[in-house]
Amino acid sequence: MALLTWSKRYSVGVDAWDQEHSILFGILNDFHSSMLKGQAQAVAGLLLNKLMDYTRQHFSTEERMMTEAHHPRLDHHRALHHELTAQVVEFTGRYKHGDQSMYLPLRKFMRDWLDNHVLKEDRECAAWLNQHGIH
Amino acid sequence: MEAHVTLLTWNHACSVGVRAMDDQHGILMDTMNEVRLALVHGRGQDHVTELLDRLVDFTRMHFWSEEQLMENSAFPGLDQHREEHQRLLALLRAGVQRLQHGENTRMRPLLCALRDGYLAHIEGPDQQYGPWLNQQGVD
Repeated sequence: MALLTWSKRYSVGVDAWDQEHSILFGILNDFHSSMLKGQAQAVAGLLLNKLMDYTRQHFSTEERMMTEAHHPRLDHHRALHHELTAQVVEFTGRYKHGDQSMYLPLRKFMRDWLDNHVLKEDRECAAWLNQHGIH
Repeated sequence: MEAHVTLLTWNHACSVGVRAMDDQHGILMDTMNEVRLALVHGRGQDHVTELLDRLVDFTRMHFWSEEQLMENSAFPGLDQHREEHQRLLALLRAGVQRLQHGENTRMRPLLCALRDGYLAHIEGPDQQYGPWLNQQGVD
């Protein structure tokens, strides 16, 4: 049972961002499904690797486009990216130390990431880009 | 405002001894928290409805998972447990109906009842199937 499947309603309005956001939806869904079967531990390592790759690739896409467009919110947005990346690093550390209590918080972290960062913050940044002809 | 909302947090005291069910209980609590926070923060009806629909879907799936496990291991308390699930689902359906009639403001007592019902269920009847399942090699 998937938690959230990416669809048009989750579009932020910039195609390249939407495409990459759907990857995050996929990572969250995979982890959610594994948890339902009690297999969080078995997949967490791979998931955290994917999440780290995702942050590198996706945050750089967003920041590059915002830099090129002289987006006024770039510094703020970049700081939020640093915070999210720091949290992924922290979860990776907990995983390496065998912390069994990290799976629910990790799922919730990704869930909040989608709700608060992607669907609110990214949407606002994307709206500015749209106003400046970037879609 | 969030300080006034008591959120549910899974902890080891409510473990039933079966990993998948523990994780499902944790997710159930998180999903319930999402509904409560959305109501407290005055989010729009569409948003609350979406979260509540998700809570209904997830609850159904979770109850089904538990009943499957109990059925497969011939757990003697299955019938009684199934009745308890039906009772909680009825409570949940009442909440959905209220929301459909635009009664956001009256959701709170109902959600509290639901929250208490879920907690009592996890801390009560759910604790009984764990040892039985563990004996059958499910953990």
